Amino acid sequence: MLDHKAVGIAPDLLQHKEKVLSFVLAQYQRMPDFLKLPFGILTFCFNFWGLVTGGRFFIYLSASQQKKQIQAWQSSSLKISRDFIKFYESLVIFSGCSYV
Amino acid sequence: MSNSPLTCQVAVIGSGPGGAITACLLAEAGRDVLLIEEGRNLPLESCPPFSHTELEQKYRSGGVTVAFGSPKIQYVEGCCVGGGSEINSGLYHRTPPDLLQQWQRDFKVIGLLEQDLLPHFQACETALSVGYCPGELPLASLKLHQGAQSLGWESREIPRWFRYDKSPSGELNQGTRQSMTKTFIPRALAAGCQLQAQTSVKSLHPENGGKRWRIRAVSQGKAVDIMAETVFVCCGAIQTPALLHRSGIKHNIGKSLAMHPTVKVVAQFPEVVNPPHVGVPMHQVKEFAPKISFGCSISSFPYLSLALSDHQVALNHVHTHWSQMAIYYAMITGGQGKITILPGFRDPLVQYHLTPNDLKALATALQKLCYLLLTAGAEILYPSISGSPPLTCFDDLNQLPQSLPRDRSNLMTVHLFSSCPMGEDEQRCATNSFGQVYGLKNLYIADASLLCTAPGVNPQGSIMAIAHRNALHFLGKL
Ligand SMILES: Cc1cc2nc3c(=O)[nH]c(=O)nc-3n(C[C@H](O)[C@H](O)[C@H](O)COP(=O)(O)OP(=O)(O)OC[C@H]3O[C@@H](n4cnc5c(N)ncnc54)[C@H](O)[C@@H]3O)c2cc1C
Repeated sequence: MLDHKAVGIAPDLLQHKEKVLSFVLAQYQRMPDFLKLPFGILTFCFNFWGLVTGGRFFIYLSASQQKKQIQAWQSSSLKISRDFIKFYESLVIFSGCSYV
Repeated sequence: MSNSPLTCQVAVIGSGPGGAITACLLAEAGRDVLLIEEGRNLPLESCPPFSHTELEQKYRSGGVTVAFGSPKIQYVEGCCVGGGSEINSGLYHRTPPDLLQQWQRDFKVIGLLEQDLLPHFQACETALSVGYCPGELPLASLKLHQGAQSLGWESREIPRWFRYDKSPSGELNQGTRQSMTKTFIPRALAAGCQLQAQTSVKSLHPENGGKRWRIRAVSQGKAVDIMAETVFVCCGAIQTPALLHRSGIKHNIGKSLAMHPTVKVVAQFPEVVNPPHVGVPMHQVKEFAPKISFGCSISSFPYLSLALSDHQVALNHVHTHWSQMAIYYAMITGGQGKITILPGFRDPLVQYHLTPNDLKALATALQKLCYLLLTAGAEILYPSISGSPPLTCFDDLNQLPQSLPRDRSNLMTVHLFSSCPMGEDEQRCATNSFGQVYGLKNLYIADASLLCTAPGVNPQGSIMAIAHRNALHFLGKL
């Protein structure tokens, strides 16, 4: 579900996938309450986008398809999509590097 | 103190530097003090400094907080007993004397010139063992200093609140940060102050014709009411106005937030500048102060990776080169923000606006910092602007924008203040010159919110001295 190729970071940074995932989820829970709902909706849209473009929810796409989708959102003209990716990317990078 | 509802003479809400000092001095003067803190009561050593565990344990919202605007600015606040003092770098400055004069002139603050504050600076400096690092200084910090010296720019080691004890063999240890849980909070508790951690105050309500306050709070999921004759609100520059707004108190509150917008750059040197377990960098370049200052940040592997997340190629080799890299920052004074309560939500919305001139100042600051780092021998520079190419020589500096782009700049800050400025100018200020909220005799503010404008230096020294002075004034000891 979380693959280093999809996130575009060195493989050893995702050695402790479970820990990284639980950190990311916990940080989502901690974020200011007025941001949680919009982020929850965006996360749902992001997952759903995989179904529209790749025939499966994002979490079930192959690593290369996931990477494509991340890159598409990263370079989107919509700032909100870029910010969304940046948020999750920052958490994954920071926690991934912390657990190495 | 009795139960249901809890009663006390003085309630101090928030246990950061402002609240801890206020609670300590009032308790030592024999007042019945209750110190209320939303975060957990953890020792300084509960987690490694600047780690992800620290984010989870001691930061508000896990550090995921942002001031909205164009560009948005990421900020962080402490949320634990001791507040920001438990997570910060301990860099100490007194308030610049010319700034105090400016506050006197523009905000009509009385009794706050350099000579008035001197005894309070000295008391805090003694209590926190403020001094210079006795051991070897971090190389990354020295690089900044050397670069500045080569250019003839003013740069100096900044003193810190660290205590260095000797081991039995006579060697000095790495130093222990003298946060509030190491200094004023134990003193307050020893003097009889009660501490109520994990208790978040929701609102304040005057009772008995304004003679006392009912404090509505939630303590570990349960609603509690606390009665106090006097309340000191010390929740920091964002949460103090948020709490006052929730309580219907709004006069000049939360409309004049200031911060030090900061832009970062990662520098890679040919040699090791950042060995593992290196201490906090302590040099700052003050050539262009008060408008612009440069310094070096914590540059652990996770923080470096995060800072390089916009530079994919660098990100791929950071795990092999990180000991040659360090994060540097350029901070400015500028912009203004406000704090708003959204109906139905607990957390306040923070907005911050930077003018075109502020963005130019940030670009100038970044350019000068990059120039300094190249002079210091950096081989590659990675500015925190999305899509910006790495810079490898002086000519590349021309590629930096003249004004930071609003949509691609990644700004942050750890310095927030001025949301409830003090002074005798009631048109402009939220409190009088000693922190008493206008129109409410027994309600005070004692934290970063009171600073009239951005100080241009690390703020905790100013916050502590002002809280010290105001507590003594409250006690009639000034
Ligand atoms: C990472 C970092 C590094 C820094 N480095 C430096 C440095 O080197 N030098 C320097 O001078 N400054 C530094 N600072 C800034 C400095 O720490 C702050 O300016 C200072 O802590 C502010 O003090 P304060 O008393 O205003 O509020 P805070 O320290 O923010 O304390 C407020 C406290 O109130 C509590 N609170 C808030 N709302 C409520 C509520 N409703 N009910 C109960 N409790 C509540 C909070 O949980 C918090 O503990 C740094 C800050 C950070 C975050």
